[in-house]
Amino acid sequence: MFAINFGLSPPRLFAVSPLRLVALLAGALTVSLLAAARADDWQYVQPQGGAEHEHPPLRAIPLAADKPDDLTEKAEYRGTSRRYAQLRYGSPAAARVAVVLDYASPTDADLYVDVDRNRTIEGRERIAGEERFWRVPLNVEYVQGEVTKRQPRELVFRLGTTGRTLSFAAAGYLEGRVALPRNASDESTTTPAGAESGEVATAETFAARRMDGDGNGHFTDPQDRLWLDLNADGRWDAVEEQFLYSTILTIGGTRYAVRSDEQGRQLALQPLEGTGLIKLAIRQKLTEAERQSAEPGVHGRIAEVAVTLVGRDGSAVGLRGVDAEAAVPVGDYRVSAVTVALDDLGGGQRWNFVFSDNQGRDAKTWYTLAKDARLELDPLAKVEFLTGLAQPPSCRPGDDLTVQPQLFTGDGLLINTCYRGTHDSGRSGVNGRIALTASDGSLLAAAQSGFA
Amino acid sequence: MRWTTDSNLRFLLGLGLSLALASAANAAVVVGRVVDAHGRPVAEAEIQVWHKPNAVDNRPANERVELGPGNRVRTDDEGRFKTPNLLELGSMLRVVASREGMLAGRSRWIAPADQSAIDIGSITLRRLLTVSGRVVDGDGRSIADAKVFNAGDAHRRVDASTDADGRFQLAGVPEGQACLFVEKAGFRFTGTLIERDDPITIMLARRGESIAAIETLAPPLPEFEESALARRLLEPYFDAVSQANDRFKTMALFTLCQLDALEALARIETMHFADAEEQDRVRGELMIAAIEFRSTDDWAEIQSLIESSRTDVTKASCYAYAARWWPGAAPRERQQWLDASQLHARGIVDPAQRALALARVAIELNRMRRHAEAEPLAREALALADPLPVGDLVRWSTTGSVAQAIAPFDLAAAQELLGRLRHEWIYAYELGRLACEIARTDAALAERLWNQPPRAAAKPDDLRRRDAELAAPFCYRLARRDAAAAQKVAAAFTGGSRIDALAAVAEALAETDQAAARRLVAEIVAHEFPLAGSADGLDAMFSDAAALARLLPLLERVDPQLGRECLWRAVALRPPRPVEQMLDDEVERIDLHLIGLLSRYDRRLARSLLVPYVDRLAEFADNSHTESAPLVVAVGATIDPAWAARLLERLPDAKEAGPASVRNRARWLLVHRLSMHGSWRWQAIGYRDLRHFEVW
Repeated sequence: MFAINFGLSPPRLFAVSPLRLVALLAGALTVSLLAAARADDWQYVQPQGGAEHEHPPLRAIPLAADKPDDLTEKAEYRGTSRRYAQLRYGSPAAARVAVVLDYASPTDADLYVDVDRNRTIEGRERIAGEERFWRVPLNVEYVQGEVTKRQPRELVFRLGTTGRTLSFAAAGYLEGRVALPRNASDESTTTPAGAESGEVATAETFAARRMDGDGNGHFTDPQDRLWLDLNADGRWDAVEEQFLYSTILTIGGTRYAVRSDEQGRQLALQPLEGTGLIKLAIRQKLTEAERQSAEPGVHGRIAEVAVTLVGRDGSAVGLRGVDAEAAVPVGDYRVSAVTVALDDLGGGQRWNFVFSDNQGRDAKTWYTLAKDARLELDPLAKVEFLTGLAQPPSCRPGDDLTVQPQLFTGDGLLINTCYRGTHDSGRSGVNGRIALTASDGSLLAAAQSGFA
Repeated sequence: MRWTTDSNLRFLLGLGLSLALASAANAAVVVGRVVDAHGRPVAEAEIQVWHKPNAVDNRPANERVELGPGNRVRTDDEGRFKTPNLLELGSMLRVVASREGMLAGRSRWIAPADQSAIDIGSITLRRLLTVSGRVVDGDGRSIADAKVFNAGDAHRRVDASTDADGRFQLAGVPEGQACLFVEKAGFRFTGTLIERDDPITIMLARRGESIAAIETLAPPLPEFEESALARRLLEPYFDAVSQANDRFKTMALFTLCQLDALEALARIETMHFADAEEQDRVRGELMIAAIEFRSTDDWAEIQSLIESSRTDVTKASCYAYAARWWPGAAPRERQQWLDASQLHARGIVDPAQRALALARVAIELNRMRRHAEAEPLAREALALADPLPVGDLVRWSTTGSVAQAIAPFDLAAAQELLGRLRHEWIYAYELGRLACEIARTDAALAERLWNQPPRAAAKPDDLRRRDAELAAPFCYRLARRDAAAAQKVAAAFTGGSRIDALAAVAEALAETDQAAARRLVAEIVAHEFPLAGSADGLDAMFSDAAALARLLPLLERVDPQLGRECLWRAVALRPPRPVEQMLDDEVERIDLHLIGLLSRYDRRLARSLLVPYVDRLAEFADNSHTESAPLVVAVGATIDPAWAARLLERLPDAKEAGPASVRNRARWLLVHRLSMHGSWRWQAIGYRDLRHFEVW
């Protein structure tokens, strides 16, 4: 059931509207038919210590020995040494909050938090706590242009038993309901009578909680949690009903596009519907004319190719063959790996090359596939070779010169290995010959290198 | 458990490719002098020049330089020599001097850069002497027909037998320090270190008579002093890595982590990595180390560190690791951590990484006998891995783990997945890992998988790596369920793998039947080991000598007097050093690795064996591409830390080389050893803890 307790230690509910109470008391009944929960449907709940969902897992924050330059200390500390941390709780433009640990002994410290964000630590900002655990009332600040909105919240801090790690979390959660519309093709879907135009969704609604997992005051970061009571049993299953926030979530086998504002006032999940076609359009082989006129260094034609695509939600699509195609769900995809085998025109064993995003370039190229659209990809259309030398390279006789040749595809995949034939022993594969020549073309040094 | 061995270190230190450059020219001349151990010239010594081409696999491959017909080079009466003007500039060269009746000597590696003559200084040759002595029993009575031999010190093994008076004369023993070994049926094997050519008396104990038992020595310094020394030595390394690439920063942090994981975690936040993903991966490794080293008893503290990492890959991995390794965790806690691991696994975008993370959770759940929860996860991991190019090197760890996860539910799918691995040695290795995992519950199936015939394309060498790393843990796990089957499997291995595997069976037996374990180790120690004719293809970690030394901790528990015999047998198994092998660092590595192992039980012997290498420290230091100098210093750390620290100061410190200078490489290795204590140190120098064996 919902975390409402009418016993001795009720949770504190902020801005609870009568309508909300009705909804809450209705328990597992599905009363909302809206695709998106409305702003005032989400309420901040701050449970008592020890209660379920009191706070997400605590996160350590770096402690520094040096005081921030702009921080003034007016408090009379009792300890002999101090450590400092800073955190931002709210918008990026919100003032940072200074945190000071005043150590009386290595494991006994007082906590000061600059709760008024005036960059001054005052005596009254010493937080009462026990067992190295503190609860700190602190407004979350959302800065929107000239306007700053503040909402009362609470952070919890804990000093580890070693006295060397300070961790914190945003206490409590947002509670509301969320609708999970089903795919139109799902025959069990029904349109509820009386639903308003534009708001109709063939959806079931579920009790939901949202937790600020990274303690920054926002609810749309990858470490923020979304809990959905999918089986409406009033309990929260950590495996089946807890999700890290993502713009695409897979729930019960259905992929949903997730939309929310940062403050967590709205949340809408829409099924990702439709498919498109992805087709490899790799230049397949040399024509006879091309072969005849092939420039020196053109040695092969593509015999086999395997391409792995990865979606933003981590879904993977494998395509094999130079003109392979596949119908896949709409969304963004990038090339993750390419394995290509080239025939040896000289009649020798095939040359195999493997490129992947393993140690590839950080900047990823994403391709958007729309519904019923066709996307043609040639991941080998362009390759770039780098020597790995500093620019400009310079060395003197006797110096060591480190060379790390790298071959990238246009999508930023790095060549990982190369081998001949159908199997690679992994030890004596194909090697590259690296030659260093003088400007007159004379050979200065040469070496062979395998793949690291 | 993650083994940290010299083999691994070599890998770390050997990454990258360097080209030695030379200015344009064509040939060089090398001059030098050959002397004996007393500095007297050695005339008529033959001079060979060897060339070290850049090998394709970055391992040494030496070629003798043909000095041309009629260009046989020998030293003159003053011991001097000069090579013809035929040596290729820019290549790495080494001079080897030899003469009948003497132990050959060698120069350092040199790289002639111009046509002026290079003077390599002196090469010292030790004479081969005849050592005489007597072998007696505990009552001083002569022992006839005992075999006395010397091995590991010279180009070949030499032996002799005692006469009726127990006397022997053994020719071909290098002057100065050498080891003599004695064996005779009915007596305990023994050895002794000689330092002069005076006649010696060797006492041989009858089998059944008591001899000094082996015992793990207390550390040479109190732990806090070793740690303080390590901290002092480590700081200059941090200075050196500040401008270096991420790999060196990682090495510095891992070493600090051994001393103080929480400080390492704090320090990584202050360091700049070129690759942010790599930084988070390292952070995760540090957290795993904090779990391993039990840096705090406070789980919440560890968890807050895990939660502060930036990627779900790290979080998923750390939670799964904690579920396996956090000591004393209640089943409910382990379940919570696996739930957390699963949550973060689902947050991973990369399908290969996600499959790996889910597979790890499934494997843990299988071990907890929670198969109903494990199966859907394993199937999800399989579905993710299926479309990936799993046959490629970059995905093979995922392939292996997913196969382990799915095997209890669909063995055929697991085998089919592994079958896609193209590299034969990886296929063999991952199939071996699967067999290891299955050996926990189903001995027969595990044995069948292990003995599955290799694929047609496999070469014998492809199984060697599997055997070297997995034979022992496989046999250990198999033996806990079926000791007879495990012993049969173990006996089929050869060389060091055979010793390791049989020792693993004995280790498992010792948990329930000490007498049976004692019998088996006695058989291992008494086995007639063929002496390696050369060091070709040997790996220091997997030599017979090292494998026998690794048996010592078990012997310490079940038969410590036999341990003394085993210790000497290990020393006697040091490979001989034919002239050609003197070029290769592998023989040195075998010796240095063995000396490190011996230092656990006999620091005096270990120090004596190390001294000849210390004497050549300058030569090693000149060879910046080898790891001999760092290894000498690191081995010294387990014998006498202060001595090792002084050795470090003798190494050149090329500031421009930063952390890659010889001194800094040695510094890192020395601190690495000093910062490990107790069983961690023994694992760092090459002992194994089979009970906690894991490959992640």
